[in-house]
Amino acid sequence: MGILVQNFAGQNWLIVPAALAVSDPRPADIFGQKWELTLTGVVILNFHGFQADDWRRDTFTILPDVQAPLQYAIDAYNIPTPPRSFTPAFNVDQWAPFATFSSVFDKDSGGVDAGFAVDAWRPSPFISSESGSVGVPQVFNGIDVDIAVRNTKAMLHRFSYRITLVGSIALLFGPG
Amino acid sequence: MSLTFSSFAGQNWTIAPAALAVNEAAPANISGQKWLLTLTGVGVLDLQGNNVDDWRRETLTIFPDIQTPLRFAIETHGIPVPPGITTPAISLEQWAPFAALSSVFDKDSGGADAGYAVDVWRPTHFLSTTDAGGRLVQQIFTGIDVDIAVRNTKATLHRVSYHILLLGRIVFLAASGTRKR
Repeated sequence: MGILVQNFAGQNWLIVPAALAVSDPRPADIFGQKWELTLTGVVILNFHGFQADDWRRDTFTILPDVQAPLQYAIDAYNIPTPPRSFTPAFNVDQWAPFATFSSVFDKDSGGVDAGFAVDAWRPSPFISSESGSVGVPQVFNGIDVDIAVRNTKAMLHRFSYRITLVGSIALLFGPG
Repeated sequence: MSLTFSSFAGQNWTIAPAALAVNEAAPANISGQKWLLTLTGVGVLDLQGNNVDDWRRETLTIFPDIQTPLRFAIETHGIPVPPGITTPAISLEQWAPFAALSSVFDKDSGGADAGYAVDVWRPTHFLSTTDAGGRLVQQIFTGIDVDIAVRNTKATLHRVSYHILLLGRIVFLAASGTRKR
């Protein structure tokens, strides 16, 4: 896990049932439904370089709000919920994150080095949990993005993301 | 001649069946299934500018690994594989590529101009060929071409990222008999 991003300039989402292939059996009930969840947005970092002649590198974790789309799907598709307290979660089968810088600024560098980078990304380590007695092994827990800024006058203000996920909705009980 | 990445810093994908419209007939079998394939990642390029006062312009071809997601779909959904040596490919109906600057560096420019650009992108020329059954298959995905530029000799475009969304059918190419459209 990296530094958790707290400040979002904006968040969007889209959740739809995943289509069945012509050879796929229909799920026995709505709990077997697969979903395609898309999460997009811009986060505010204001990540300042602090080395005149080298890169400052760090990993940031983006954990967008997944409760809103999951709750939307639960309501829109009448997914039965238990009377006890629960937390919706997304158990991931497939993932395709994307991130890029969205606002950068190099202040009057006077000719010294300057650079900005989104070097790589990957899913944050999944959480393994359970729903009742059913295992939920790959709960989506955000993405980790490796970022770098070079020179003390360079600032990476914002970066943006688009995360495509395929998986199932799970209802988690209690902590975790 | 276009450039290619020296390596990929990371690649990700999803592949899922495409939904049918309410008035659309289901395909006769799994071989007619349409798929939505998403490819994302970051590639390492390290392209340095070579003009002090002008742009260096190049075309970068990005062809991510599509074998892994196609084989995943083939195995997960029980798609019959023709006998013999074949290679899975995706024959496209629709495409929506995207590419962006992902790492840029301006070394001690001394106040001179510097710039980086992803000017435009498009699919690489599709392949038209025959499949393992000898049928003509067209619009085979072979990557995307991205026009990039770097300005000044001290500027380097280290990395480019991409997000490619494709809709098409999985086909199995014969080991020979290919031709470019």
